[in-house]
Amino acid sequence: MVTSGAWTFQREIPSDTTLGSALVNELLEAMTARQWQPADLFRTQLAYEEAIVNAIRHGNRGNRELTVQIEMSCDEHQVQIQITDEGQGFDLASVPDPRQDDLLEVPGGRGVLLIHEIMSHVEYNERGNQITMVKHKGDAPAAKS
Amino acid sequence: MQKPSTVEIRFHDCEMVVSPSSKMINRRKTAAQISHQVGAALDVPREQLITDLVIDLSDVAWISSVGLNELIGLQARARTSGVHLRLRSPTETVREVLRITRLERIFEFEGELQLDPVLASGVDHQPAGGGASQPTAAV
Repeated sequence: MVTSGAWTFQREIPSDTTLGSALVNELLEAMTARQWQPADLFRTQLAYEEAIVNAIRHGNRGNRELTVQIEMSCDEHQVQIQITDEGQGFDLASVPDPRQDDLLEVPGGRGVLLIHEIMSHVEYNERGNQITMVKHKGDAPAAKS
Repeated sequence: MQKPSTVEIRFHDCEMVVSPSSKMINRRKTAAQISHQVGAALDVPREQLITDLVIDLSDVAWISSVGLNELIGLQARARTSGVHLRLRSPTETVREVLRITRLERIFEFEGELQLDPVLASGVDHQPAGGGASQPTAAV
Protein backbone atom coordinates (compact mmCIF):
# COMPACT_ATOMS: atom_id res chain seq x y z
CA MET A 1 0.00 0.00 0.00
CA VAL A 2 1.38 3.41 -0.92
CA THR A 3 0.86 6.14 1.64
CA SER A 4 1.58 9.83 1.34
CA GLY A 5 2.02 12.57 3.90
CA ALA A 6 3.95 12.75 7.12
CA TRP A 7 4.22 10.00 9.70
CA THR A 8 5.31 10.70 13.25
CA PHE A 9 6.13 8.54 16.25
CA GLN A 10 7.03 9.28 19.85
CA ARG A 11 7.80 6.84 22.64
CA GLU A 12 9.55 6.70 26.00
CA ILE A 13 11.11 3.35 26.83
CA PRO A 14 13.22 1.85 29.61
CA SER A 15 16.88 1.10 28.92
CA ASP A 16 16.33 -2.16 27.06
CA THR A 17 18.16 -2.67 23.77
CA THR A 18 15.80 -5.38 22.52
CA LEU A 19 12.80 -3.14 23.09
CA GLY A 20 14.57 -0.12 21.66
CA SER A 21 15.79 -1.91 18.54
CA ALA A 22 12.34 -3.29 17.75
CA LEU A 23 10.81 0.18 17.52
CA VAL A 24 12.60 0.87 14.27
CA ASN A 25 10.18 -1.54 12.60
CA GLU A 26 7.50 1.13 12.86
CA LEU A 27 9.69 3.58 10.97
CA LEU A 28 10.66 1.00 8.35
CA GLU A 29 7.01 0.24 7.68
CA ALA A 30 6.25 3.95 7.28
CA MET A 31 9.21 4.33 4.90
CA THR A 32 8.17 1.29 2.88
CA ALA A 33 4.65 2.66 2.55
CA ARG A 34 6.19 5.86 1.17
CA GLN A 35 8.23 3.97 -1.40
CA TRP A 36 11.68 4.36 0.13
CA GLN A 37 14.15 1.94 -1.40
CA PRO A 38 15.55 -1.07 0.51
CA ALA A 39 19.07 0.42 0.61
CA ASP A 40 17.71 3.48 2.43
CA LEU A 41 15.83 1.23 4.82
CA PHE A 42 18.94 -0.74 5.71
CA ARG A 43 21.06 2.35 6.21
CA THR A 44 18.42 3.99 8.38
CA GLN A 45 18.00 0.80 10.39
CA LEU A 46 21.74 0.55 10.95
CA ALA A 47 22.07 4.19 12.08
CA TYR A 48 19.07 3.82 14.38
CA GLU A 49 20.50 0.61 15.85
CA GLU A 50 23.84 2.25 16.57
CA ALA A 51 22.20 5.32 18.12
CA ILE A 52 19.74 3.44 20.33
CA VAL A 53 22.45 1.10 21.59
CA ASN A 54 24.70 4.09 22.34
CA ALA A 55 21.89 5.82 24.25
CA ILE A 56 21.08 2.76 26.36
CA ARG A 57 24.56 1.32 26.92
CA HIS A 58 26.74 4.41 27.03
CA GLY A 59 24.22 7.13 27.85
CA ASN A 60 22.06 5.42 30.46
CA ARG A 61 24.72 2.77 31.19
CA GLY A 62 22.05 0.09 30.96
CA ASN A 63 20.20 1.40 33.99
CA ARG A 64 16.62 0.22 33.44
CA GLU A 65 15.31 2.90 35.76
CA LEU A 66 16.45 5.49 33.26
CA THR A 67 14.49 6.03 30.08
CA VAL A 68 15.15 6.87 26.46
CA GLN A 69 12.94 9.20 24.44
CA ILE A 70 12.51 8.32 20.78
CA GLU A 71 10.96 10.58 18.21
CA MET A 72 10.79 9.61 14.55
CA SER A 73 9.13 11.11 11.53
CA CYS A 74 9.12 10.43 7.84
CA ASP A 75 7.55 11.61 4.62
CA GLU A 76 8.28 10.93 0.96
CA HIS A 77 11.60 12.79 1.04
CA GLN A 78 13.10 12.77 4.50
CA VAL A 79 13.41 10.73 7.68
CA GLN A 80 14.24 12.25 11.04
CA ILE A 81 15.17 10.33 14.20
CA GLN A 82 15.81 11.95 17.56
CA ILE A 83 16.99 9.88 20.53
CA THR A 84 17.46 11.35 24.00
CA ASP A 85 18.92 9.52 26.98
CA GLU A 86 19.29 10.56 30.61
CA GLY A 87 23.06 10.25 30.73
CA GLN A 88 25.71 12.89 31.22
CA GLY A 89 26.17 13.27 27.48
CA PHE A 90 29.27 12.82 25.42
CA ASP A 91 31.62 15.02 23.47
CA LEU A 92 31.88 13.98 19.84
CA ALA A 93 35.37 15.45 19.67
CA SER A 94 36.50 12.93 22.30
CA VAL A 95 35.71 10.00 20.02
CA PRO A 96 38.79 9.18 17.92
CA ASP A 97 38.37 8.32 14.25
CA PRO A 98 38.64 4.51 14.15
CA ARG A 99 39.82 4.72 10.53
CA GLN A 100 43.25 5.96 11.65
CA ASP A 101 45.91 3.39 10.90
CA ASP A 102 46.84 2.88 14.55
CA LEU A 103 43.19 2.41 15.56
CA LEU A 104 42.06 0.26 12.66
CA GLU A 105 42.26 -2.95 14.65
CA VAL A 106 41.02 -1.45 17.92
CA PRO A 107 37.34 -2.12 18.71
CA GLY A 108 35.10 0.87 19.44
CA GLY A 109 34.02 4.16 17.90
CA ARG A 110 32.59 2.65 14.74
CA GLY A 111 28.97 3.15 15.71
CA VAL A 112 29.35 6.91 15.73
CA LEU A 113 31.32 6.78 12.49
CA LEU A 114 28.65 4.70 10.76
CA ILE A 115 25.89 7.08 11.87
CA HIS A 116 27.75 10.08 10.47
CA GLU A 117 28.60 8.38 7.19
CA ILE A 118 25.19 6.83 6.58
CA MET A 119 22.90 9.68 7.54
CA SER A 120 22.60 12.94 5.62
CA HIS A 121 22.82 15.17 8.70
CA VAL A 122 23.65 14.49 12.35
CA GLU A 123 23.65 16.87 15.30
CA TYR A 124 23.77 16.70 19.09
CA ASN A 125 22.37 18.95 21.75
CA GLU A 126 24.76 20.94 23.92
CA ARG A 127 24.74 18.41 26.76
CA GLY A 128 25.48 15.59 24.34
CA ASN A 129 22.66 13.30 25.46
CA GLN A 130 20.46 13.86 22.43
CA ILE A 131 21.19 12.90 18.84
CA THR A 132 19.15 14.07 15.87
CA MET A 133 19.68 12.29 12.56
CA VAL A 134 18.21 13.16 9.19
CA LYS A 135 18.27 11.06 6.05
CA HIS A 136 17.27 12.27 2.61
CA LYS A 137 15.86 9.69 0.23
CA GLY A 138 18.54 8.09 -1.93
CA ASP A 139 21.44 9.78 -0.15
CA ALA A 140 24.19 7.13 -0.25
CA PRO A 141 27.42 7.24 1.80
CA ALA A 142 29.63 7.20 -1.30
CA ALA A 143 27.96 10.32 -2.65
CA LYS A 144 28.93 12.26 0.47
CA SER A 145 32.66 11.63 0.39
CA MET B 1 17.37 -28.72 25.93
CA GLN B 2 20.47 -27.96 23.91
CA LYS B 3 20.67 -24.44 22.53
CA PRO B 4 20.91 -24.18 18.75
CA SER B 5 24.32 -23.04 17.62
CA THR B 6 24.95 -19.48 16.45
CA VAL B 7 27.37 -20.77 13.84
CA GLU B 8 27.94 -23.77 11.66
CA ILE B 9 31.56 -24.86 11.66
CA ARG B 10 32.97 -27.18 9.02
CA PHE B 11 36.48 -28.45 8.44
CA HIS B 12 38.14 -29.10 5.11
CA ASP B 13 41.67 -30.37 5.55
CA CYS B 14 43.53 -27.44 7.12
CA GLU B 15 40.67 -25.00 6.64
CA MET B 16 37.95 -24.14 9.12
CA VAL B 17 34.82 -22.56 7.63
CA VAL B 18 32.51 -20.66 9.95
CA SER B 19 28.99 -19.75 8.79
CA PRO B 20 27.01 -17.52 11.17
CA SER B 21 23.40 -18.63 11.30
CA SER B 22 22.10 -15.15 12.09
CA LYS B 23 21.08 -12.86 9.25
CA MET B 24 22.06 -9.87 11.35
CA ILE B 25 25.12 -9.57 13.55
CA ASN B 26 24.01 -6.68 15.69
CA ARG B 27 23.66 -8.17 19.16
CA ARG B 28 26.57 -8.31 21.55
CA LYS B 29 25.43 -11.67 22.89
CA THR B 30 25.16 -13.26 19.45
CA ALA B 31 28.47 -11.82 18.32
CA ALA B 32 30.25 -12.94 21.47
CA GLN B 33 28.85 -16.45 21.09
CA ILE B 34 30.20 -16.64 17.55
CA SER B 35 33.67 -15.64 18.75
CA HIS B 36 33.47 -18.06 21.66
CA GLN B 37 32.49 -21.00 19.46
CA VAL B 38 35.18 -20.22 16.92
CA GLY B 39 37.78 -19.86 19.66
CA ALA B 40 36.72 -23.13 21.22
CA ALA B 41 36.89 -24.90 17.86
CA LEU B 42 40.37 -23.53 17.21
CA ASP B 43 41.51 -24.80 20.60
CA VAL B 44 40.43 -28.39 19.95
CA PRO B 45 43.52 -30.45 19.11
CA ARG B 46 43.21 -31.86 15.59
CA GLU B 47 45.20 -34.28 13.55
CA GLN B 48 45.62 -31.65 10.87
CA LEU B 49 46.66 -28.24 12.07
CA ILE B 50 44.22 -25.48 11.10
CA THR B 51 46.00 -22.93 8.94
CA ASP B 52 43.03 -21.10 7.42
CA LEU B 53 39.90 -19.66 8.98
CA VAL B 54 37.11 -18.61 6.61
CA ILE B 55 34.15 -16.59 7.87
CA ASP B 56 31.36 -17.21 5.37
CA LEU B 57 29.23 -14.05 5.36
CA SER B 58 27.08 -14.96 2.37
CA ASP B 59 23.95 -15.30 4.52
CA VAL B 60 24.59 -12.28 6.73
CA ALA B 61 22.32 -9.50 5.52
CA TRP B 62 23.86 -6.76 7.65
CA ILE B 63 26.29 -6.12 10.44
CA SER B 64 26.55 -3.36 13.02
CA SER B 65 29.58 -2.06 14.92
CA VAL B 66 29.02 -4.87 17.41
CA GLY B 67 29.63 -7.44 14.69
CA LEU B 68 32.60 -5.49 13.35
CA ASN B 69 34.24 -5.56 16.77
CA GLU B 70 33.86 -9.33 16.86
CA LEU B 71 35.41 -9.69 13.41
CA ILE B 72 38.34 -7.57 14.55
CA GLY B 73 38.67 -9.78 17.63
CA LEU B 74 38.58 -12.92 15.51
CA GLN B 75 41.25 -11.49 13.24
CA ALA B 76 43.50 -10.88 16.25
CA ARG B 77 42.73 -14.32 17.67
CA ALA B 78 43.52 -16.00 14.36
CA ARG B 79 46.75 -14.10 13.98
CA THR B 80 47.85 -15.09 17.47
CA SER B 81 47.20 -18.72 16.57
CA GLY B 82 49.10 -18.42 13.31
CA VAL B 83 45.90 -18.86 11.33
CA HIS B 84 45.09 -17.00 8.13
CA LEU B 85 41.59 -15.41 8.27
CA ARG B 86 39.49 -14.58 5.21
CA LEU B 87 35.95 -13.25 4.78
CA ARG B 88 33.94 -15.15 2.20
CA SER B 89 31.25 -13.68 -0.03
CA PRO B 90 30.00 -10.72 2.00
CA THR B 91 26.71 -9.19 0.90
CA GLU B 92 26.72 -5.70 -0.57
CA THR B 93 25.37 -4.30 2.68
CA VAL B 94 28.09 -5.87 4.80
CA ARG B 95 30.74 -4.83 2.30
CA GLU B 96 29.47 -1.24 2.46
CA VAL B 97 29.86 -1.20 6.24
CA LEU B 98 33.39 -2.62 5.94
CA ARG B 99 34.22 -0.01 3.30
CA ILE B 100 32.88 2.93 5.34
CA THR B 101 34.90 1.86 8.37
CA ARG B 102 37.94 1.10 6.16
CA LEU B 103 38.10 -2.37 7.67
CA GLU B 104 38.43 -3.67 4.12
CA ARG B 105 42.10 -2.86 4.59
CA ILE B 106 42.66 -5.38 7.37
CA PHE B 107 40.63 -8.25 5.96
CA GLU B 108 41.23 -10.50 3.02
CA PHE B 109 38.23 -11.50 0.94
CA GLU B 110 37.37 -14.49 -1.18
CA GLY B 111 34.39 -15.54 -3.23
CA GLU B 112 31.83 -13.52 -5.08
CA LEU B 113 30.25 -10.38 -3.73
CA GLN B 114 26.74 -11.50 -2.81
CA LEU B 115 23.93 -9.51 -4.31
CA ASP B 116 21.84 -8.91 -1.27
CA PRO B 117 18.53 -10.72 -1.90
CA VAL B 118 16.63 -8.05 -0.03
CA LEU B 119 18.24 -5.17 -1.88
CA ALA B 120 17.85 -6.98 -5.17
CA SER B 121 14.17 -7.75 -4.81
CA GLY B 122 13.15 -4.54 -3.12
CA VAL B 123 10.77 -6.47 -0.91
CA ASP B 124 10.76 -8.68 2.15
CA HIS B 125 12.89 -6.34 4.17
CA GLN B 126 13.68 -7.96 7.50
CA PRO B 127 13.49 -5.44 10.28
CA ALA B 128 15.42 -5.71 13.51
CA GLY B 129 13.99 -6.80 16.80
CA GLY B 130 11.12 -9.15 17.35
CA GLY B 131 8.17 -10.04 15.22
CA ALA B 132 7.43 -12.66 12.65
CA SER B 133 10.08 -11.44 10.26
CA GLN B 134 12.88 -11.88 12.76
CA PRO B 135 15.36 -14.40 11.41
CA THR B 136 15.53 -17.61 13.34
CA ALA B 137 18.89 -16.72 14.78
CA ALA B 138 20.23 -18.93 17.49
CA VAL B 139 21.28 -16.92 20.50
